[in-house]
Amino acid sequence: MGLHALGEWLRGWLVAVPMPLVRALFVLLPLLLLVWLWTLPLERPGGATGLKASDRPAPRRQLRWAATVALAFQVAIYAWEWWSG
Amino acid sequence: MATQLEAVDYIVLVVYLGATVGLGLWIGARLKTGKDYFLGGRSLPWWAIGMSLVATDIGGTDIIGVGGQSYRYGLAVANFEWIGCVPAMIVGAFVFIPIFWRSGVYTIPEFMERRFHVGVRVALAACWLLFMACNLGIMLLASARMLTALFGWDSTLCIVLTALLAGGYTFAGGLSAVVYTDMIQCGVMIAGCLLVLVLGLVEVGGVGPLAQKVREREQELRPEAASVEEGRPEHLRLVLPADTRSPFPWPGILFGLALILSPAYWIGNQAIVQRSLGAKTEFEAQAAYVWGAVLKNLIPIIIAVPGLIAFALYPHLENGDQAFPTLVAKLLPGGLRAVFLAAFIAALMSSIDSYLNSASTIATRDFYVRMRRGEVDDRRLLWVGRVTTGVLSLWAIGFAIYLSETSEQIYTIFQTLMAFFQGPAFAVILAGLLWRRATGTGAFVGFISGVATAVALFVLNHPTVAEWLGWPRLFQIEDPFLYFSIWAFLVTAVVLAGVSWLTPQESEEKLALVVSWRGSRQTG
Repeated sequence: MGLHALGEWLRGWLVAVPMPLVRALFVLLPLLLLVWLWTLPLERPGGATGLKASDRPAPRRQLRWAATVALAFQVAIYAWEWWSG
Repeated sequence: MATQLEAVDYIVLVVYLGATVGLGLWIGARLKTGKDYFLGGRSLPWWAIGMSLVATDIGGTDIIGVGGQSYRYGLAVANFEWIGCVPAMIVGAFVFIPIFWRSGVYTIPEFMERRFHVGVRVALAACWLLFMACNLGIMLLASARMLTALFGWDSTLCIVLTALLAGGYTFAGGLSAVVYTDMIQCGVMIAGCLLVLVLGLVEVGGVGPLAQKVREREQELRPEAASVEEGRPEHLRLVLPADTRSPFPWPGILFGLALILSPAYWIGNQAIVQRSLGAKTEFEAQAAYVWGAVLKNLIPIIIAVPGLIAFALYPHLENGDQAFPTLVAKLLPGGLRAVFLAAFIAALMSSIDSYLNSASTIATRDFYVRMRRGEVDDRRLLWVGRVTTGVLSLWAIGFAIYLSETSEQIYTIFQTLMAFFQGPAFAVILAGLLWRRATGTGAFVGFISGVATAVALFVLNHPTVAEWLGWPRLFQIEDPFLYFSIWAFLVTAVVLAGVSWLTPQESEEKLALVVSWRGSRQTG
């Protein structure tokens, strides 16, 4: 049956992926978000008034730092998992 | 084995419950309009919303269930709180929540009508209302069963009392009551679980001895486990291989949870997003999510690690769900047990009140107000919201009692079925906000196709159906709901894209809601 053959092929492929690479992916996800966060332009003081829904994301400085703390914790946890593998 | 409570435990519990309900009723006496009731008058502060987000997400059954899964399978369950929450909350805070807040909507389906058309709104609102109404009954029943197992209390009495207490202050005070009581409940929940964690670590001798004992226990119980994953037992692993025996293989966690279910929950779940829509300012709405994400990092430490402690100290429990109650019974002296009980009840009520309030908001805004084309007096909305909350509370009691009398299998099927539309709903929201070419027809057809795919996979994977058809099961793991969500999301995305290309682009007024990455408010 086609669905089962596809499922078995996918499963075999996923099982064959080396675990260090998998663990690196878990580190990469929060790390990429962290990089993305720091590429966003900062909001101008008073800039949050009169905005259209479509205006691009622009965090305030203190929010960016708080989010950095949350994501850095994630990076540390999964980096520990990867390193201790 | 029921945990024995002393008189002092009951006194602490009654004082705590009285204070919570009293605060909710006090807030309720100050409400004047529907906007006050459904959005807290758009005056809620970030610190209260952030704690409410965490309290809503962690239900009473989660405390026992996560501890139990940590006992059975190890630390991998912590992924549901870490990579399964924090990244989605941060993306939500900076990309999606500001758009929802600025648009001034009460519900996500209402936003979807503005971006697409009324068909998408009705489909999403109907699914969410059905999900929330059924989930209320399930949460009440699951929690009552926990209370019965923990303390030997009558199950039906627990269902009725919990619904009346949480329903009472939600009925009176709406979203403000929910958020401020959740804030207290979040504090109590963290304190209760922290107490169990600290006393457990003292008993086991610290973090180093805990890891050592977990290794020894796994060797004793499953000698073959030592060969799994380069000699390190699965109990101390966060990321498990694709062929793990546990329900947490890495593809499910990364693709199903982190990339689909988690964003679907934090960006598309009305019960979660609604409190941010009630924030004072856009900044406060964003800050609430970031504060919630910071708190979320701590949650696995206080609810998953105690499961490992129980595994190290009491490795022969009949059922993993006894891990937390066993620690409470063995380690906490009388009086302090009430702190854990209060934490458990806090977690339970903070989820029920949120779902009640959000279900009432969807029923009122997406059906009652929409059918009257918005021509409803704001003071009347307050009345309608309260009546809807009361009706939903009574429904939840009846449904929970009905479920308690049906088979365990029906209960499990309900729970699984209700998770089916979250992947498709997320694909629709994502396309609506990020892709200008997405059309209402594409979103509607894509959503229906995704839900149908999830249901079909569930049916085909069911042992009875597979046996009847003479096919092997489609998925190897025990409860493949993470995989259902991946396929449902992918089918929705493909169908949505295909139909959108074949239908005319939406008007510029609707496209104004799509995020622009070339906006003009940055300073660099």
